Order: sequence, then structure tokens, then C-alpha cells
Amino acid sequence: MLLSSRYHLQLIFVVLIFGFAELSVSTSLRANEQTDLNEFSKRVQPFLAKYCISCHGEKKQKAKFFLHDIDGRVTNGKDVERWEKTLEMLSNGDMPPEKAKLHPEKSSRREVAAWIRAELKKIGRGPDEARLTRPKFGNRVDHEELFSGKHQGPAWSPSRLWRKSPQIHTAFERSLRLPAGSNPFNAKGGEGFQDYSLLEASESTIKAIQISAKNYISQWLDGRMVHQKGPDGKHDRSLPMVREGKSRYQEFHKLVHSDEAPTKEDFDKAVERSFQLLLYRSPTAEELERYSRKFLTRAIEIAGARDGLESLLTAIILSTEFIYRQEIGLGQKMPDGRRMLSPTEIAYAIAFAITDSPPDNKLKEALKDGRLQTKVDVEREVRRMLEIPDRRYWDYEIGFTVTQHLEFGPNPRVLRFFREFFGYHRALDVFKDKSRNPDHKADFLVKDAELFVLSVLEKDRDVLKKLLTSDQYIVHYAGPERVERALKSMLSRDEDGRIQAMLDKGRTPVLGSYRGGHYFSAYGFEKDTWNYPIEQPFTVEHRAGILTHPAWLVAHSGNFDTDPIRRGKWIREHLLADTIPEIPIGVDAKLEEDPHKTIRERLTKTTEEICWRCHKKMNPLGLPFEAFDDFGRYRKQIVLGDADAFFQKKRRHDGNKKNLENKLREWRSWDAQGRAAKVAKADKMLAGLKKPEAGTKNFERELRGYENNVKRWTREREKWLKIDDAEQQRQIESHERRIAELVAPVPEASKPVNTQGRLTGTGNPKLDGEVQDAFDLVRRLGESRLARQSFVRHAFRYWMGRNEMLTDSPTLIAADKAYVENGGSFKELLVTLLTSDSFLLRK
Amino acid sequence: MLNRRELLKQLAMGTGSALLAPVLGKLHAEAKGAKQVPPKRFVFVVRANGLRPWGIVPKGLEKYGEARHKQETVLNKSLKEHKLHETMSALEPLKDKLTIIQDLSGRAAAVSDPHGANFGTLGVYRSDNGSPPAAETIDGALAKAMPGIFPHLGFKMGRAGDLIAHPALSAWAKGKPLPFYCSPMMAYQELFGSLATGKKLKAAAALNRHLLDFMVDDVKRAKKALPGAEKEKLDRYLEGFEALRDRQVKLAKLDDSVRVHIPSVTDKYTSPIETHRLEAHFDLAAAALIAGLTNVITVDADDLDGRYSGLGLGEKSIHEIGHLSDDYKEGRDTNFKDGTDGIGARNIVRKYHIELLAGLANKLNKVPEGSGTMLDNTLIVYLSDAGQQHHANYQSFPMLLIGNLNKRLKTGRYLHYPTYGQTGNRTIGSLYTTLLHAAGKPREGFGQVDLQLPQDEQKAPLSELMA
Repeated sequence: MLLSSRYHLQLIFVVLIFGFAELSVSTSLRANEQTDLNEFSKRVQPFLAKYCISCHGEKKQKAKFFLHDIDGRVTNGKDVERWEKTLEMLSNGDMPPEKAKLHPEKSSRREVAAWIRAELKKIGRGPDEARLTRPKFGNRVDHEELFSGKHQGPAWSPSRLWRKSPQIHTAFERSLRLPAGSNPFNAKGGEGFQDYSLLEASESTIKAIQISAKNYISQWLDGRMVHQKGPDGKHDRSLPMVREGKSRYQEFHKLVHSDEAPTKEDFDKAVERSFQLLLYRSPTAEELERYSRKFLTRAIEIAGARDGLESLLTAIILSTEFIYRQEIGLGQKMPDGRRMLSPTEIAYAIAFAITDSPPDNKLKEALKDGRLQTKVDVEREVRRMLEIPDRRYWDYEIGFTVTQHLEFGPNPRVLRFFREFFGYHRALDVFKDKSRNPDHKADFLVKDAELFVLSVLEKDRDVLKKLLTSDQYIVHYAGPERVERALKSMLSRDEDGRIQAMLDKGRTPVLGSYRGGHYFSAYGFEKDTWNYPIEQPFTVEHRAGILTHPAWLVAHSGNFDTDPIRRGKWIREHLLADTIPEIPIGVDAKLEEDPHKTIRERLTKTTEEICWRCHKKMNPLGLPFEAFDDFGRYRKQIVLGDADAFFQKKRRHDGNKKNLENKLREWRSWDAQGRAAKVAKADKMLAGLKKPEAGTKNFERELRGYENNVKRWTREREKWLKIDDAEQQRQIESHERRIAELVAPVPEASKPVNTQGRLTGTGNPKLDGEVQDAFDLVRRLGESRLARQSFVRHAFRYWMGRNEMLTDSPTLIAADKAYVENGGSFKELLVTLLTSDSFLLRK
Repeated sequence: MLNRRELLKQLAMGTGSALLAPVLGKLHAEAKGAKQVPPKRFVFVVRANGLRPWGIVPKGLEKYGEARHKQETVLNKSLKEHKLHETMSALEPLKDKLTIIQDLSGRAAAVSDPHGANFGTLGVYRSDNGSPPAAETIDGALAKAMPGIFPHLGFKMGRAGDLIAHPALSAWAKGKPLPFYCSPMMAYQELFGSLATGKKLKAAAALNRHLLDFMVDDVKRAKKALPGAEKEKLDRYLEGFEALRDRQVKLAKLDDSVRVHIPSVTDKYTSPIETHRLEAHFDLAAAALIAGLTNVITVDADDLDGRYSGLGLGEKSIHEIGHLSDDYKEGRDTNFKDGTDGIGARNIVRKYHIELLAGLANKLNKVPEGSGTMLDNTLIVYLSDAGQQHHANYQSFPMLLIGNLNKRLKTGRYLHYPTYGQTGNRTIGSLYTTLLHAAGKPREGFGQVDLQLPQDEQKAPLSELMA
């Protein structure tokens, strides 16, 4: 019900105005324009009287809002804010509320909204329609309409230029081994999909490219950086580095260094080479004329061959073709006016849909042989590229993939979709105070989340459902082979047999990289007790899917607290295809600060009527995740009061206790024989030490080391000689006493976690309703048709680089169908999207 | 009169060696007997997070800065009898040129996002997050009225790697946001790099012009091949080339007889610390004004994602500082680890900004011009895009004005207008109208009007301010 009534008219606008950069907000007041009062009295006033005034009238003024005295003269400006509020409520479908007795017909709601909008527009107010093309307004197209099957298309994307992404540029730099410059293509920033076709290049792009280009070109024209040559004619590593002084491209080299006057052919060849290098194609005859005769010749006249060539290369790097992916639709024209992408356009569209690199060799071959014309051709190539039967994803290197935001694997754009859809990678941006939890390492959590996604994608069955509900996690893992190697190397250093003993008892030690520290405590594992699974994914307790993954939880948390509002908003917008309006003007959106209250209690403020209208869409979805703290750790009790101090004390207490226990165990384990062995070992070590001779390399350092070792082992020897049975007994007793004396800290106050929440708006009465906890919630979401379709819509936006329109309805329905009919195969969904009219046709 | 050379040396302490430029040209002209009217100059410094009323009220007037203070009539007090707020001590010597204004409203620019009015701050119209500007902003309008070689210069405290940004702050016209330099280094190269002489450098400049000409032509060609709507996308790109070319031509035409001593670059220009780069920006702004390269500058002093690590406040982002409460409260979400609370942090930031403003004013005040100094023909405006607090209601935009525009503005005043909702409340639109009047380019109103308030008054300048 709620869903069916949203955003019709805006939608029509999208269709009509798509492509306009923005619609005008008039800058001066046109108060003279008259309100259409006829329409007001005929339709609008009766509508307000029937559906609104019973709650927002003279007697009852819910949310301190009333409409009984509004006179319909929108353009005189007196009531403009009330009209805007009314319009927002009507077009969001938020009013009348569900519980109201009377609900207007969709069509009359649409008419009234249209009238208000038109009147507001006369005085330059009302919503900015162009925003509907912006990413965060994607959900404003009516979901029910989109999937109703009523809309038959025909689907198309506008002819467009799609600015390259920062990743495409990085891949370009890396493919030519160029020095990484300041990336000229900034991503959209903030949350959500970063690469949208409405991004533009501007003066800042030009400046950034000019600066990077200087570095690239220097490498192309003057060669790589090498050490200067010594007197023997060989490169001397002790000398500073300089450019080689010769170009590796003979066309350039010849122009710069040849004594003979350059010919026309020399110029042409340099242009040809530059085009191949930067645009992956030969210049046309017209371009050759322009770039070679007109531009390069004159440039060389002005500033010499080297700088002239630099200018040429800069000009090509600055050309629209280098900056933008061209998707004009230069192919076959349909009877209805739509045009297919040309084979070249198709090759690039596919390549950049799946990877960050230009078409691979097989695509180029297909292009050359004329096998890139039809949908069948496209499907063949897309399937080929997606069919990569390997598990290379275990090679995930944290330094390269997470912290530097570089990508890995053959199809980086597929994983990036999940990354940007779920937003778990934003855990890296949430600052957490180290002193609160020294174990927290966001990069390792993000890595785990990505590997979890990849392990689900590998099976390609019920992808969304698994992502939302599976407890089969990957934690601190680098693939079976590396783990085996790590275990082997650990055993080879296992002098005291501790590891072997542990294995004999049936427990595997933690085998992940040491750099992770103890970050896995976020999942509830302790280094001393965790039986590390050699085979992963494995079952992790108290987890279900990505929304309970520490990475996602941290990404959607505050610096010090969990954030049920943000979590609920994410679910509402990403899985329920709904929109939450911005914080209203004048609302100071601060939660009450009281360390003795839980977040749930502090959120009570938002249940006031004026807040609850929006917050009811978020809080009940976010609160079940209170079963996890703001580091993503599972909890049953919420510590109140000065929680940080408590956790600090607790950590200190636990550490002390562990140390004392370890020492006690050691003291207990000795006997006379063992003590004698200690003395013998010290003797042996002392005998083995060699005093360095004066004058040898690093003499002083070696000598210091020697002296320290002598001291150390002499002390050790004396220590063990002094210890007898009585002393050992004394030590044991002392340690026992100290352990008994330790007092575990108690929190000032605590309350049991309450994970109750409520799911609304799935359109399925079996799923809607109270939920017990996060696991109950994600299970229901995993069953939801709406959640699945919302996921499909986001995939559509990501791959089309734009918001959906009603004409895209057939594409969306087909993608959803392909996903369902193939047992939840993401691959099939993607193939359907990339072979759709929306992807391949332009208008 | 002061010795020019020495003076400019002094002023360039921040930027290195002395910078002499068209100022000298003007002096030559004046010496020859030609009387030149100095241009009016405007500097807007816009910060995030709100400018708290309590932080700018002079001593003895504290009650006017309280959060729930309701002003019923216009209060117009001389600053002479009052000491300035402690964070404003740097402006004490310039007090007779200072105006403190409270409770100008900006509801015509109110948007649903409470974190700032975007282009509306200087444009007085509604500007949603992420939307292109709907019209020119006041700095754009003034830049058009008093064009320099660079009609408008923007400086922004960006992230370390950023070169240029288009923050939603200043606009030349509808759909045309103005660029801001984030990198002082790049600003330096653009402003002063091409003033160098020498055969090689001249050839480089000629080559650059050749390239820009070619690119303008090339992008136009590409545009022609495109269908309607997408043409617009290339407009911004094309304008980028045209603007670069245009500036190059103008810079090249600068009177060569006037030797320009280019400021030398300090570590601040490339420092990873934001505040260092902001200081470099202020140095460049002073140099550009004195060299006569521009008459209108906007400084975007910070944004919510940034951090004031150079002021010891790096522990929290600027946004997080905004969420601190004004009074010390024990709680997990409040305060810095060292106990600095909202008041403390806001004082530190404001004091820093005001010292930068005072530094700029002092530099201009040392350069003679006409019968006075450059500061006499300059106005510095300091305000926040979120008005008086982090989560704005856009009902009040506290402001500081430094300078009197050749005695066209009354200064040395504390001006408190009636609070929004009281009769007699005035708007930022009126203030901007006042600026246009003072600049000698009067208009009837600026931006959109607040439909809740009487309209005629909004189109008139502020009489309390006009001399």
C-alpha cells in the first residue's frame, strides 16, 4: 500500500527531462503569476478537506501542522513552507498514514501533487526535478509500477559520454608502468555507487591531467629513471637517478634526436604511435591532418621537437575521447528511433562494465572479425569474461587491496558492486579510538567481508539470500595452501613442542598473518582458545550474513556508539526500495547524551510524533543489531556508565591474570632435572659466544651484542643455580596467592540487550511484523521478493550508470526473472543486464 | 610615504620575497598625473559549522550572544567602549574598521540539509546538496562588476592531494560553479608562474597557448558530434580550456616594465597539514590582491570532512567538532581526550580564523593607495554557511565585516538586528544589496526574498550600515 503510491509524477518528469543538466529555479520572484484557483477549489481543497484536515485542522493539529486555513494562493508566498511540506508528504506517500480510515486514489493524489508542484514552480520553489537523476534519488521511481509488467518499454539509455572512473585511470597508469599521479577523475564520494554517468570533467580535471601528463610524457620521451653511469660506463648505484635520455618508442626518438630534418611521414608516425598508446586505435585521415600537420608541426616550430611532442601527447590525453567513454549509439538504427551501440562502443562498454581495462585481446579479435554486432555476440563475450574458474581470490593482499583501495582479480567491477552496495568498506573511514579497543583493525575486517562475498559468488547460488543470512564466514584466512605452509613453518620452529602438543589435543593455532594482531576478537575468537579452521568458510556463531559482519557493523556505526538509525536507513533504502527524506530544517539532530542509558533509550526522543514519521522507518530495522557493540562484537549485556574505563580495566585484569597463570604453569612444570637442564643450556650458550675481533665490520655493534649476550646468559645461569625445591615451592605459592587476589572489575551498570524490532513495508504479510533479533530480521529479508527486486534495481543502476526509468521496466523484470529461474545466480542476472536494451540501445 | 619596496618585502614575509606588480604601474600612472580611482575589493571567508553568536559579542554585551536571546529592536552600539571577545583580540587594533552583525536571517536559502546552505549562503536561494547553482552568488556578481585578470579567485582548505575543487559555495551564473584552488602550489603556479621572462619560458607560454587553442577547437568539434543533452556535459570542460586560455592571454599582456618579484614557495605550500595550506592560501590571497590580479576572493576556510590537526584538534573531524555541546558534559560522545569541550574547540578555530583575517587586513593596511591604504578600499566578510550553529535553521547568520570601502560603510559598530520572527528582522540578501551599493553597482535586491517577511525591505540596503 505504502509503496504503490509513490512518485508517479516525478517519474514522468524523469522521462521528459532526462538529460537536462538541471531545471531552472527562477532567480527572481515572479509574484505576478497567478495561482490557478479554479483547480484549487475544484480538486485540491476537497482533497485536503477529505483526507488531511481531520488531523491537521483547527481542532486537531497533529505535529503542530494544520491546513484548514490555507487559501490556495500559493504564489503569494505566504504559505509556501506549508505547501512544500504537503507536497512532500503526498509524493512520498507518507500521508495519510497507514492507520487512517480514508486513503485517496493514486490518481487524485497525483493530480493534487502536480497542482502544488506547478504552483510552487511559478515562484521558484518546490523540489528540484533534476535531482531525480542523481544517485541518491534512485528509489523515487515507483517500485510496484516498475515490476508490474504494465510498462513495455522500449528501453534505452540516453546517448552519452561517461566520464572514466578513477580505477580506469589507475589501470591505465599501471598497464604502461607510469608514475601514479594525482587522479584526475574523482569518484562521486560519500556512500553509494561512485561511478555514475552524470559525473563531468571540468577545469579541475584539466589541471590534474596536465600535471600528471608531464610525468607520463617524460617517461615516454626521455625514458625511465636510471642511475647515472660511472667512469666504467656502467650504471653506478651510488649516483643519483636521471632519465635514460632516449625514448623507447622509435617514432618519438627519431623526431627528437635525429639530425636530419623530419619528414611528413615522421610526424604522421609519431601521431599514429601516440593514438595507439592513449586511445588504442589509429587516427582517421582527418585526425591525422589535424594532429600532425596543423598541431604537431607548428608546436615543434614554436618550442622544438621534444616539447612539441609533449604538447601533442598532452592534447591527446586531454581529448574528450581519453576523458570520456563514448556511448553515442553509432550502430544500427531501429524503426522506433533507438540506435544500437556500434561494435567498438560495445567492446568498450562490456570491457568497462566488468573490468577497469580496455577490451582484452579476445574482444578485440571479435571486433576485428565482425563478431560484436548482436545481442548473441554480446552474451557470448560477457559469459566468457565472467567464466573464470579459479580461486585466485585467496591472493587477496591486504596492503594492495584494502588500504590502497586498489583492486585485484580479473573482474574487479563485480566485487566493487557488492562493496559499494553494502558499503562495508566504509569501516575504514570510521575513526575508532585505539585506546577503546586496541584489537580493532578495520582493514582486516573489510578483507574478511570481501572474501565472504567472493565465496558466495563462487558458488553463485541464492546469492542475495546467502549474503544476507549465511553464517559461513571467512576469518583471517589466506587460502588452504598458504595456511598449510604457515603451519609447516610454525612446526619447524616448534622447539618446545608446544604447537605439536596443541595439535595433538585437537586445536589448530591461529595461522593468519601476524599483522592482524588479535582483530578476530571482533568475532568472539581468542588467540588462546580458538581452534583455527584450516578449511574455510566455516560456521561462525552469532552471525548471519553481511549485515551482522563486523565490517558492515563498524561501517554503519559512530565513533563511540552503534548507529541504529543509519543501519535502519541502509536497510530501508537498499532492501526495501524506500526513501527517507532529509532531516527537516531546524531539527537539531543530536541524541541525548547520557552514559547511563542505552541507545534504544536515548532514541526515545525520536518517537515524538514529528520525528517518528521518518524514524519509524529506520529505528525498528536498526535496533535488532544492538546485539553487537560498535566494534561489531556480539554481546548479551550493554555496559553503561563509563564503559571505556570498564573495558580498559577489564583488559588489564585479563592480561595480568593470563600472565600470572602462564608463569604459575611454568613454575609448576620444573623439577630438579629441568632446572639442571636450564643451567646446562646457559653454559652451552655462553660457550658458544664468540668475542668479535677488533677491526672487523660493524665491530662496535657486534661487541655490544656480545657483551649483552654474556650478561644475559650469566644471569640466567646464576638464577637457575640459586633455585632449589623450596624456592620453587615459594614461587608457586606466591603466584597462586597473587592470582587469588586479583579482582575482576565490574561495570558501573549494565542492562541486558534488547533486540526487538519491526519489519514493515515488504508487502508480504508473512514477513512484516515484529522481529526477535537481527537473525530473525535478515532471515525475513532473505525471503523477501521486495528485497530481491531492490537488489536488482541497485545492480541496474550500477551497471547502467544511471537511475532507472519506467521504460526500463522490461530490463528489470527480465533480470529478476533470470536470477530467480537460475536458482539465484548473480551471473545470470548480470548477463541479462548487459544484453538488455537498456545497456545496448541509445536514444 | 613609505618606501614601496621595503613595504612589499614586509608584506611578503609569508610568501617569500617581495612582490611588486600593477600597484607600481598605478603609481607610475599617478606620478604622471593621471588620477586613478582604486577599485573596490572584496574578500569572503566562509567557514563550516556555524559562527556562534556568543563567540563574537564584545565584552559587556555577552547577553546578546546567548542562545535564546530575543532581540526586539535594532541595537547599534559603538565598539569603542567595548573590548572585543578574547578570540578576536587580533582585530583590536583594527576595531574602528570592524562591524559585528548579528541576527541577519537567510530563510530564503533554507534547505532541508541542516549542514549548510551551499550556494545559498552567498547566493540567497535554495540550493540542495549536490545541485548545480541556480544563479550567481554575491562574490560572482561583484567579480563581474569589478573584473580583474582573474575575475574571481577561490581558495579552499582541501585534502592534501586535491588540486582544484568546485565546492558548492560560489557561482558565476546559473549552472556555473566557480573553481577553488585546494593546492597552494598550483595556485602559485597559475597566479605567478607565467609572469616569468626568458626565451625558454616564453616559448613554453606560446606552446601552451597553441595547445589551449587546439583544445578549445577540439572540444568544440567533439561537441558538434554529440546529441543535444550531452553537449551540455562538455560545456564545463570547454569552459575550463577557455578560462585557462583567457587568463594566459591577459597575464601575458601585463606591463613588462613592471618587474614582478615572484613570491618564493615555502614548506607550507605542500604541507600535509591543512592549516599550513590555509595559511599559504591567505598569503597568496594577499599577494594576488596587492598585485592587482583580482578584486574578488572567496576563501572556503574548511569543510565538515576536514580536520584541524594543525591546531591540535585532529582527533575529531570538523563535523564531529560541530556535534560537541557548548557546555562541558561528562559523556562518551563529548569532548576531546584532553578535556577540550565544544566551547574550547570553537574558540581555538575562531581565534585561528580571525588571526588570518587580521593578518590579511594588516598586510593590505600597509600598502598605500590613493590617499589611504589598500584596506580602505577593501571589505573582508567572515561568515558561516550554516549561520549560527552546526545544525542550521538559517534564521541567523552572524557576520564580521572588516573595512569601510572608502568610507561608504559605517564601521566600528556592534549591530544587532531583531531576531527572526520579530518585526524589523533583516536578511543576508539586504546585506549583499548593501555591498553592491557600496561597490557603486546598486541593484534592487539580491537573490530570492523570504516570502514570510515584508518584501520591499529585503530589496533595500541596510541603512544602519550605509554611510
